[in-house]
Amino acid sequence: MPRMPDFFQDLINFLFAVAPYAAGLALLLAGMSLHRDGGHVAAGGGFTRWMFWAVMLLVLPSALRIFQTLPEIGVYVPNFGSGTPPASWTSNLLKALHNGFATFVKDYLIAHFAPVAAAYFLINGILNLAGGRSPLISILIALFLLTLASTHAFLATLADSGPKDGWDVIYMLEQIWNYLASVIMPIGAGLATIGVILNFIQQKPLMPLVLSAIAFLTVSSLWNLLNALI
Amino acid sequence: VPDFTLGLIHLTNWLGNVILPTLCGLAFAAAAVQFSKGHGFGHYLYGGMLCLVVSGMLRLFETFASASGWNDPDLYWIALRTLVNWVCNVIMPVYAALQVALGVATVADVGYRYSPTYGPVKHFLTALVSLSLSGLVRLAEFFVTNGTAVVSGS
Repeated sequence: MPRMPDFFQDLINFLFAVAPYAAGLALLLAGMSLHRDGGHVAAGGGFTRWMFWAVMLLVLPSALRIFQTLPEIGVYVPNFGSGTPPASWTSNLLKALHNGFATFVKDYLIAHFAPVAAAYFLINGILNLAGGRSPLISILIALFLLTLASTHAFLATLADSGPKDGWDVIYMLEQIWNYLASVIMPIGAGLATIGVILNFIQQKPLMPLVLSAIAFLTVSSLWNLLNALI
Repeated sequence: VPDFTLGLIHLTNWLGNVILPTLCGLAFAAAAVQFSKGHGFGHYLYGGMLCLVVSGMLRLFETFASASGWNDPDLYWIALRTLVNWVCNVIMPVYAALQVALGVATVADVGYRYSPTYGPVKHFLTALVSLSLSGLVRLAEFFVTNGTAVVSGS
């Protein structure tokens, strides 16, 4: 097999090295997309797509190993830790580009821009309240943006604990589903209960919130029910 | 645990344990105003009470949702069945007792002139309620606290 030209090798290494920082950028875009989608986590919607790309970028080197099981396809997988530049880099330009991108995402976007965007969504929530609409979605987006660094670190930890055999994307999505079903949804039941009481006072329909509160508490069971139905 | 999850828990706790108990007073005030106008005030009155028992409501839903194993495919149905049982066997008998008491009072024409819905009494009662809203909120809190003690058996 002919040797890959150094330029392309360096370019691919550079892209792999900045992938985890690009995942941070994808998380930021996921939060912003949630507002554009009207708070709906729809399949194919902006939030879902950007979250998927965040996961994909975090596990990219490991995920590519799935193609190494096919001997006809030669897939280059770097052997350095994701997010760190390879020791073989001698080009100061590549190192500067890598550090520049990492600093831009970590210090500029996540540490400074995301809190300002969160503050904007807080104002948006207050204005929604003034207009008679629910401020909940704006507040949830503000929370998501304010805690972007922690969410990024959490996802990176999950990515590190993956099997590293090419099935990492599936592993990550399974872990995120488990986390949603077992941690986030029961908290959602608390918010739904508050909604039940507020709707009761305002003489609005209660049953959708009562049924969803119970559903939030029984997600795993509903998943098993779905499996049992087929 | 990511900070987003902690933020979500704190938001829920703040809404349920700080904001809604505070809004309870507002709901009672709205009930007094509705009562003075002769409109239905039950939603505000019961809503004010519910504002003080958010945690209890959530525990109730959790009790419904833990009637079987977490991986039991029938859990949602069992939870709904428990909800229906609770409404039909606990709430409706209390409602029935109230209706019987009201029916007897109406048949016997007990205290018609002193009934809260009679013109002058209604306005005096509204004035009394308006001046003692804080006390009524404390009374509701007392009922909730003692109700919790009775349920927990302490």
